[in-house]
Amino acid sequence: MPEAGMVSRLRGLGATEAAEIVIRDFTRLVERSNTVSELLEAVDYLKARIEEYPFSALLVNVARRVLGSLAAGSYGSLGEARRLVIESVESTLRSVVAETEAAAEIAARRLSDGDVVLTFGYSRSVIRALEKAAAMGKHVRVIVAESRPLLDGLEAAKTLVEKGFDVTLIVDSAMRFFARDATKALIGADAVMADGSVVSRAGSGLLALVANEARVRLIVVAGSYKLYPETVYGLTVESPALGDEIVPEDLRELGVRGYAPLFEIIPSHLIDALATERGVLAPEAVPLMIREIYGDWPPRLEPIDELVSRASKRLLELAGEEVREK
Amino acid sequence: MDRERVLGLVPEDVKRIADDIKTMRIRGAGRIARAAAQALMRAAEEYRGESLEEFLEYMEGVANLLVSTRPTAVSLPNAVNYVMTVLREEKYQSLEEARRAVIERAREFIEYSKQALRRLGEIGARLIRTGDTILTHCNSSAVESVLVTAWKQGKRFKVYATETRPRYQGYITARDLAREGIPVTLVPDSAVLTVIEKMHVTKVIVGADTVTANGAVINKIGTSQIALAAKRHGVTFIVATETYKFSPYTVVGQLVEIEERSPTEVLEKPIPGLRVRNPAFDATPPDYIDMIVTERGIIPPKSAALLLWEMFRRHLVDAEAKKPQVEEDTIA
Repeated sequence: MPEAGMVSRLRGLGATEAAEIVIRDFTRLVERSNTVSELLEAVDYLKARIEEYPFSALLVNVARRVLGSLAAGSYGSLGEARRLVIESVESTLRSVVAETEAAAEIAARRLSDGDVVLTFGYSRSVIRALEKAAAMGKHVRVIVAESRPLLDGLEAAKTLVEKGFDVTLIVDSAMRFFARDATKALIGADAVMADGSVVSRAGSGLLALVANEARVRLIVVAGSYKLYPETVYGLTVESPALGDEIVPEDLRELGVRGYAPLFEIIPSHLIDALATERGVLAPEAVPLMIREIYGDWPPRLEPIDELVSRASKRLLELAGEEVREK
Repeated sequence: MDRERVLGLVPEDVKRIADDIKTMRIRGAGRIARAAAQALMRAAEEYRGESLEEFLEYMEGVANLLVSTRPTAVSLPNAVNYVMTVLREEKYQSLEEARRAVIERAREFIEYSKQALRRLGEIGARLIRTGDTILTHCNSSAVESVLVTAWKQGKRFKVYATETRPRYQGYITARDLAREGIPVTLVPDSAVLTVIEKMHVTKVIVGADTVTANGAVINKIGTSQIALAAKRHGVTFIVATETYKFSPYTVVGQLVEIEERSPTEVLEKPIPGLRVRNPAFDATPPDYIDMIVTERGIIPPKSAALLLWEMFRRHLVDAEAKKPQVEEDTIA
């Protein structure tokens, strides 16, 4: 089971924010690199974070673009390589913002005046969707589950209160109790898988179940950067989990263990709609979106590991050239 | 007798028991029931007046005080009514006679409730198999009785216990089971779906605060969504409870009031503008429950009415309540 180190450092953040922090750290490392080996260290850093945070489709997609441009090798100096990396990171982050905004806009249209929205965890896409609905003049009430163990739902509740929403906070156990008061359920995603299932915070699956039982529509708001194309070829990832640290000291001494998975997979049949920047679609139509984005179905993908080794090889060649020039 | 006057007469330790039930220092439907019987016993013992009439009024006042502490758990009024029946339905010549009857009746209830716990533990333990992975929610002495009995019989299994926000009663379950040597892992309430799937949970066992006439089980908030998740995964969902948690009021159509507790249990420091809702219980529909284990035997939930009729109809017809008795095994 992967360590939850980074995930718990990024406690309380939505999937996109957490990945963005990693990407900014990576960019800083790249900017500071004075030698090719320092640039290689930055690439290793990105690779290590992907392993720690395997569900972050954004991280994987950024890595794919950055490594792709490094591997292609259309640069003659360290400075050019650096610039290439930074440009590709920046353009990816710009498109993330644009996709999130567009997906939120589409989700907002699906909300009606007077809706009561049940949500779980912290998702910027969901918060933006609610803001846009409010801007459209729709009065929307929100019920947020606190989302143990990271309490990111509490963060979402605070943010929404600051933005002027009518928010009710509940414990995670009360989701079914309040599902009958809700008219819609809205969550974000960490990744959208090839089979249309969605990876989100542990607890979102329960929300999906109670919404489904109460006949409350569940909409997942996710820009297409959340697509995880590797899953077309059967990639599966283990959810990182917190362990004994959730157990109070006196109980740990008695041998009580702890287990708190951080993500879970919501099967597509519990999801009514994916709101993406390309429009609303059934989660089962994800292959269609993969074809739109990758130009082909099945998508042609080079494994991240191979991309890393090709990029590293190209950078080492660059180091050799620089040494020779001196 | 008005409330003020009763409160003036109520001994301090009885007030303390009432307060402990209200603030959940005494918690769990079974413990609440025994504590209420104990409180009535103490109130009778400590009564210093001389008039039989006043004693009867005073005891009704104490009964009201106790019943008003928590609205949802039916074990409380059931225990109180069980004890008070001797005053309500019998005629006494003297104060002493009435006092003795109450004390005797309260003792009987406490003894019965302990026997019931042991007996349902024996019955429930038969359902547990070596190799089981069991998920439980909140803290229930009935569930603990089942699990500990099975463990002592040499059955080997693991337990996942939910933390049970907002008050973390799962910690109590974890401590009690760990002390018996049972391997137990705490999980957040939000994780139950993943735990059921990934840890291959074979049975869910929970207690009950109230069982209704149609077989719904009112238990700690979160129980019903665990039952829903278990149903989706074809995992057996078992409720373990003594029969005095079956609600006779629901037979005549009364709804069970779901207690809503203080927001500070969820969020210690209030955030301006943020509303907090904190219902303490929810209702699990009988469709999601495979069986209810009681000290009188196992029933499918929709047969709750049978138990209620058995227990209360006869009792309501005959002024003389039958002394309940835990019956021993007839199959062994």
